[in-house]
Formats: sequence, C-alpha cells, structure tokens
Amino acid sequence: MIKAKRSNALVAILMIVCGIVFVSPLYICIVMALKTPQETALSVIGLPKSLTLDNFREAIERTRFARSFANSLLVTGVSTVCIVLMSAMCGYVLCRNRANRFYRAANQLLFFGIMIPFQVIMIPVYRMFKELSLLNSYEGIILLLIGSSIPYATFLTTGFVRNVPMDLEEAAWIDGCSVWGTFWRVVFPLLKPIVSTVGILHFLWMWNEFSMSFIVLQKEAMRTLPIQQYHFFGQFSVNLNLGFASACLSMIPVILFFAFTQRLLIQGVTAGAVKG
Amino acid sequence: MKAKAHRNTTLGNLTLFLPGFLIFAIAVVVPFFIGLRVALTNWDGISQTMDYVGFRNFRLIAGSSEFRAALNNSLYFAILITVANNVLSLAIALGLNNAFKGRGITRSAFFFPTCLSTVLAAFIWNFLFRDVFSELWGVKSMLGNMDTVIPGIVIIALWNSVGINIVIYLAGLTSIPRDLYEAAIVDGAGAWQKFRKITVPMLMPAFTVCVTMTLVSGLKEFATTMAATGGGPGHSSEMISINIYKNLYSYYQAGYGQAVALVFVVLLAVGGGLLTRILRGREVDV
Repeated sequence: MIKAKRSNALVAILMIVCGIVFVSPLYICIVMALKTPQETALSVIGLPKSLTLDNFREAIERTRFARSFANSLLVTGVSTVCIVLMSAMCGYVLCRNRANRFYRAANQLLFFGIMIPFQVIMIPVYRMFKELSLLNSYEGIILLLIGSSIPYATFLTTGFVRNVPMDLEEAAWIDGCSVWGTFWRVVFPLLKPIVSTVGILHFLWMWNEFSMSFIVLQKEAMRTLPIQQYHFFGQFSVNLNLGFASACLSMIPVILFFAFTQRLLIQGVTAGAVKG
Repeated sequence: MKAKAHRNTTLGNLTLFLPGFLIFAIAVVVPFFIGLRVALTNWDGISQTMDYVGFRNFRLIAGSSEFRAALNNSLYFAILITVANNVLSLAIALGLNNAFKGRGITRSAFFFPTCLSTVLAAFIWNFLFRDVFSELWGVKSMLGNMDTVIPGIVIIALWNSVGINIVIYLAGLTSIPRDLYEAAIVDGAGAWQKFRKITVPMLMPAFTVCVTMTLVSGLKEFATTMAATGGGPGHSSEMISINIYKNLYSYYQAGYGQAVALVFVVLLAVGGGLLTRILRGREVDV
C-alpha cells in the first residue's frame, strides 16, 4: 500500500509539473507584453524592469483593436443566438416528425452537412459571395457561420429532444396551443441543458473561427479579432511587444469566458463527442 | 399524438423548421453544387466568366507532383498528430484520473489552451520556437527547417487541441465501474493486467471517437498551418487545404483548386469511413 501511495504522489507531481509546462507560454505572453524592445533584446524570458502599459495603449491603436473586437462581438453574438434558436427549432421538428418523408430526407441532408469540410465549399462560397456582394459584409459571414454550424447543432438537439417526454406537449395541445406556442412555452424551456451546451460551444468556436472569416472578411474595417491579428502578426515590421500586448488583450475575454463556463464547456465537449 | 390529429400542424412545423434549414441550404448545399460545376471549368478566381473544360482538371491532378506532395504533407501531419495527440491525452487522462490535491486546476491548465484561437497559438509558438528556445537551449526554430516544420506545427496544434481528447478520455475513465477493478484485484491482477484487460477494452468507444476526430481534423488542417507558416518554407508544409486556398488566391486557378477539393473530400470520406468501421469492430459491449 505504501508503494501505491508513493507512486500516486509521483503521478500527481508529474501531472502538476506538466500542467505548469502547459500554461508556461502564457508567462512569456505577459512579460513580453510588458517589456520594451530594448529589454526584449537583452532577454526574451526575463522580467520587465518597470511596469508600463504603453504597449497596450499602442497595440490598441495600431491593431484597431476596438473595431475588430466590436466586429468579433457582433458576428459571434448574432450567429451564436441564431444557431441556438434555429437548431433547437429544427431539432424539435425533426425529432417529432420522424415518420414524415420530407423531414427524414432533410435529416439525411443535414447529416451529410456535418461531414462536408469547409475546404470543399471555400472556392464556390467565394464565387457566390462575390456575385451577391456578400464579401466583407456582416450578413455574409454570419450567414456562412450559421449555415455551416446548423447541422451539428441540430444533431445535438435532436438527440436531446428524443428523451423529452411528450405528455406536456400533448397537454398544451389539448389546451389549444399552436405548434409555435407549444414549442416556445413548453418545449424550449425543457431544452435548457442542450441549449446552453450548444450556445457555449458555438460562442467559443465562433469567437475563434478562422477559415471562413479569412475568406470572407478581408477589408480591415470588417475583420474579426483572429483575422486582424493574423494580418498584424504577419507584418515584417511587427513590434513583438505590441503583438503580445494585443495577444494578451484578446485573451482576456476568453479567460473570463473559460472561468465562468468551464464546467459546462467540458461537459459540452464530452457530450458532443460521445454523441458524434 | 391523437390530440394533434384534428388540427393541421404542417404549417407550424414547417415555419419552425425552415429558417435554420434554409440558411444551411444557402450556405452549404448551394455552394456544394456550384462547386461541382466550378471543378469542370477553368475559372481563375477573378473574372466573371469561366469556360467548361470537362474533366481536364482531374486529369491534371492525377499527373500533378504538387498535389501528391500536398497529399503526403496532409497524411504525414494527420498521422503524426493522431498518434501524438492520443498517446499524450490518454497518458494525461490516466494521470488525472487519480485523486490528488490541485487536480481540478491541473485539468484546467491542460484544457485552457484549447480555448485560444489558432492564430494566437501559432503566434505564441512561432516566438517560442524562434526566440525563446534559442535563448534557453540554443536550438533553431523547427518551423524554419523543411524537415522539421510539420512536427513543429504538430506541437502547436497539440498545445491548442489536446485538451479536448483529455476530457473525453477522462469521461471514459470515470465511467468505468469501480467493481470491475475490485474484482480484478481479488483475482490477483497486477496494475498492468488491470490496464490491459479492463481499462483498454472499456475505453475503446472513447478511443474510436478521439482517433477518428483527430485524424479527420488533421487531414482538414488549415488554420494553424496558415497562421504559423503559410505553407512554407518553400512548399514543405503546404497541405491539401492550403493548396486549395492557394489555387484560389495565389495561383489563380480556382477551377483546378475546386477539383482538388472534390478529390480530397472523396478520399476523406473513404478513409474516415474505413477507419470507423475498423475501430468500431474492436469495441466490446457491456
């Protein structure tokens, strides 16, 4: 038993050390964001000599941080809300109408949609958006983000609705509720667990989304944070300290989000994987 | 169901269903079919017009060494990250499956980088590889060398995604009934035997999910590579997705690029389907 205890302690220490190694890049981010280029030239890992927030101020100006932050917030917010509501609506109808041929075919098509990688529609989306003048527009990117997320989000909801008992719906029906009334007043409140899972996962995914935004949002004024940072980091003249200041700033909302939703987020990832 | 019978629900159902479905159709299904047409043309990605060229693009792919190189890079990356990710995440999940002080926060430490964007991960690691590791150990950046660039990107992607598999394996481990282990101890099984005969078979469903997901996302790899190297140095980290993108933006042969995309999706579907079938066959029912 003593041997087992000792090996347990060893594993624990090993895990904690690995965990520290895992988050250590964040230390570099923070010290780099606080240093001047002269201090960086001396050592990239050393601590800064004095605390100054100049890097942050300059990074906010040079990367048009406020603008891309607002873009990110708008695009992520609108698309996540739409994904959550529409996938719940779709999932409910699909699950309750499994006998209907039209909905069965639609379900098949959505399943096919989960499998389709974005690369396959990248070039045609570019062509279509160009013709419809949807490139560099909020409508365009939001449409694309919702459309490509609906299949998986619907799939998650359908699985959940299957376990929601129908008694309540039937009672609402007898009382004269319409389909919409039944859904919003009776069913939707019952879907809260899956709705929060879908919402949290997609908020994070949409916030970090790169591939689609990269194709659609090219004008600087329209770019979301990841895209703006991609272009800023790619400049040869980039001042690394400013880059890290911008990186740290963009991490703050993610850290807050992570702190508040960690448990649900981890549950969501697991639930999604087990069902997928 | 009887209650519904005397009123018509068709319109109500349809209006609930269509908003999401129509957006999906416009954003995914329509482009997919446009793509089938584009692949048969010589569209350059800029002009309004395009000419039908039949299957010429597909014949070009068959003879293209660039396509084969990109396919090799994609396969190399996907296999490397699948093995590395699953070995690492399984080991960490096993370690975290023991009760110890600070376990919750350690798990958070592994999971947190997963929440950061690929652009951020690539930027941070580019700097670590180039400046920090050279200051610490005097090594050159893995990303600047044609032979090590793909393993370098794998490291970045691992940091940025291994948390997902860790929590999936961890959920699998906690769902194994304790009495199985207790029975095994009574029967005199050692640590290795318990792992081999109980943990491994009970973890097969999680293993199937994790291996398939990592492999498929590895084959689709775009963002980390784009942000870390853009396909360089030379073409040494140019994977299929990057190749498709470059055909649109840099080489001005979008028609050909779309043909590459279609070949790629067929390979992906066949490979993914085959792998799932093999792995599912090894799962045990409890």
